[in-house]
Amino acid sequence: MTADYSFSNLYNSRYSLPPRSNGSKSTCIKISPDGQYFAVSTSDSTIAIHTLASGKLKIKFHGHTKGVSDICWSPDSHYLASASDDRTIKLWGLAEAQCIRTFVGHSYSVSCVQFNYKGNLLISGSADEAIRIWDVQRGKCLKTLSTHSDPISSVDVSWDGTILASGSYDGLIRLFDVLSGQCLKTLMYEMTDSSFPISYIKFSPNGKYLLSSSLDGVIRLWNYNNNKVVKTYRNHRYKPSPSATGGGQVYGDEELSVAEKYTCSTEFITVNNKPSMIASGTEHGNILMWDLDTKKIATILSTGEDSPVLQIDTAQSGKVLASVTLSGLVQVWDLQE
Amino acid sequence: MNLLLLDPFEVAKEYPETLTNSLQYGHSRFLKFNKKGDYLASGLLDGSICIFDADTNQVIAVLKQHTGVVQSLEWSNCGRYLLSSSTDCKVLLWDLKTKTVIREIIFESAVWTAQLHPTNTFVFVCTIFNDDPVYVDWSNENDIRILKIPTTPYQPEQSLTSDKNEDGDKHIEEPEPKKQKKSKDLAFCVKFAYNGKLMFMGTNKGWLNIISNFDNSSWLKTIYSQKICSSHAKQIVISEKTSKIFVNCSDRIIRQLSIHEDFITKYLKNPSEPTKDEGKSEDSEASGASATENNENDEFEIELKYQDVVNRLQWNSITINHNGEYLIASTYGSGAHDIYMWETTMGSLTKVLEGPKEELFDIDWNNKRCCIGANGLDSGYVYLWTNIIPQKWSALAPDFVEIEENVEYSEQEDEFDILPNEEINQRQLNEEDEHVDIITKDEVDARGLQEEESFVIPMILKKDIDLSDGEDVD
Repeated sequence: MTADYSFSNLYNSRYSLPPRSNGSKSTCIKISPDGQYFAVSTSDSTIAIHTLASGKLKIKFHGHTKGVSDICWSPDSHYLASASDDRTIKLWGLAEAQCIRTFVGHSYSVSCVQFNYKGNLLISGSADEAIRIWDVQRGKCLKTLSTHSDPISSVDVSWDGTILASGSYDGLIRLFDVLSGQCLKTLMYEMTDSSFPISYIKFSPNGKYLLSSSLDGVIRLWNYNNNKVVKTYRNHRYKPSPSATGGGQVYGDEELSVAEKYTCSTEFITVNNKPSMIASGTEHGNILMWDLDTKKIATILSTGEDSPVLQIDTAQSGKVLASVTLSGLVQVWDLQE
Repeated sequence: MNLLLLDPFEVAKEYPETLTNSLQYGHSRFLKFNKKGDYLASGLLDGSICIFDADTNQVIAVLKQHTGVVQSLEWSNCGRYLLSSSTDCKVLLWDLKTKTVIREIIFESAVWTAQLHPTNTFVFVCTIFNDDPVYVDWSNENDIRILKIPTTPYQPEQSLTSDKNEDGDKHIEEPEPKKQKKSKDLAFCVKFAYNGKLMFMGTNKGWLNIISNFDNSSWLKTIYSQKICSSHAKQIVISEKTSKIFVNCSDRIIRQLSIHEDFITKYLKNPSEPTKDEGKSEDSEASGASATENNENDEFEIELKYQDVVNRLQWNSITINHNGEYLIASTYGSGAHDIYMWETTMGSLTKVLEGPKEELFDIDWNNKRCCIGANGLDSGYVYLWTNIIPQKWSALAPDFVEIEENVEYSEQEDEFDILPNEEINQRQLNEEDEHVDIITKDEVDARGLQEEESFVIPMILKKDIDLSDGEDVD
């Protein structure tokens, strides 16, 4: 492979919020489904809600006793669920400006939460190796799925709410029937002798494919119906090119991982009239975007920090992108029309 | 989408077999699943309506306004509106977004049933105790149009028929049945069919009347009638896919009528002109009504009759599955606790759903989830029959396959070949050439049912619920 493309400026940074002064780490950023707000969670157990348009702080939620690992908006944008190392999940009401539910049941740190599209079920994964399905209305656990043998790193639900996918440090991706709680399928990457921990998974917008990030630093797109990896996305080393002007970079042969240590989240970017892309944060402060079909890197967004981009989230299928680094730098990007 | 990953033999099952759940909230009298099958509305004896979330089997909303027994419930296609009728003489239209009544009407006597127009949420027909059924259009809140629907069987008008009917010599027979009738015909059920263009009405004298809903001179007039039994026609179920009508009659027989092909061309394609054929069929109908049931000129042929010959059971309620291939009926009487299921091509009894030890009253079929719901007359519980799909254990290990019998393993030619890493990588890359569509969703599910967007009833979470439930949480 050779360098046969240039890095176009697909995204422009709208604004950025600097890391906090107290040195606490940020873990997650999520844009509300109505596009009004974004929420940032931190390792010092707070959740901050900002207005997306301006970045102005709207409200801060305090209540967890340990760091918050993951947050998820309810589909109607009225509520926010947070997974914490204090073994609980809390549901915060935006209008009520307080915690309205606490889901107790996990026996170790809760690492991930996800609503189904109706917002009546909440799925959580924990370091206690179990996945729990919660009834949001009553705040009770409906099912506990204990089939993984290592901490759960990520959960996602298909658009129609029938399939739940989980990724675990045991290297397996499992798919479950949400209604019955049965395991429907297990995916494992076969090319390697030892499997690498799965750090993040995400269903494609139509739910037919599953994007997995693993700690071998590679992102794979699965067609889970026939257990095949249909695309592999890799990071390549970039060498500063002495000849190119404007600080261009040349695409080298050497490979660099996307993330081997941290969970850097992925997103599908499916803006109308543009080729679909896969976006992922990297460990070195960049956001990489690959063309979905050709697997070539389409663009690189640099946060300017040498800190892992732990979470990216999109609004309007990718027209707006928000990112947060471990150090706490929040950036909001706009797609160039 | 989960269906694709489940055992195809289990998914292909057309009806549920096991009683798996019972839901309790008040005393359920009427129940109805929404089209998507993710909510169940249950009308109670005290007039409240409760809505169960089929994902959690919990009550998510209780709608209170009726003061009498809920007689019928109807979901709009989009799943946002609910039409309810009750013995308190009211018909209400609920908006589930706000969980409030947006239209209300009070009649002079109790309402039997109310049915929504299939496409227009603001039009419904309802049958009223001891009164004519009415057609109501309340799209404009300040100008609610209420029109009575005639219940007398079709009589070709003299002027109309004499104009165009060539075999007019039979006309003298027509007025006779009219004069014979002393008491008024009463309708027990009215059903919209064919996109709401026609209405099918069952009367207490066993007539099946078809009423036009075309915006022309024959609007809300009976355009065809056929006598199908000599008792009440209690309930009508129409399967347009298979052109069948099921009529639950109080003579303990469910009659299955087939709709002739030319019926649709005659009444739907050219509805403005009732043709002379129609007059002819009516003539012969009038002359031979008392004698035969299957008249050659009848639009509907009685194909099958479902009855319990041994116990002579009365049928409480009937319904069909989405493609009209199965008919189920709940049975009347304290000794009967079962739901009977027949397949409708041959009329053979396929299955008797057992379970609860009480009489079952109303039944409904949730096609999307392959589930049948019924409520108990004494307890008021809602019972649900579903299929339990067994866990496929091979799903837990990626390289395991479940087999029925031992298979002798034959090694593939290249199975243990040692390939250099580059070649493996190259092979893998070659396989990754295919185009990937991550956006287009499937339009139908594995059972062939449409995947449709449906309204999601908004949750209102209050902190106090959390506190009252808090003690259960450890």
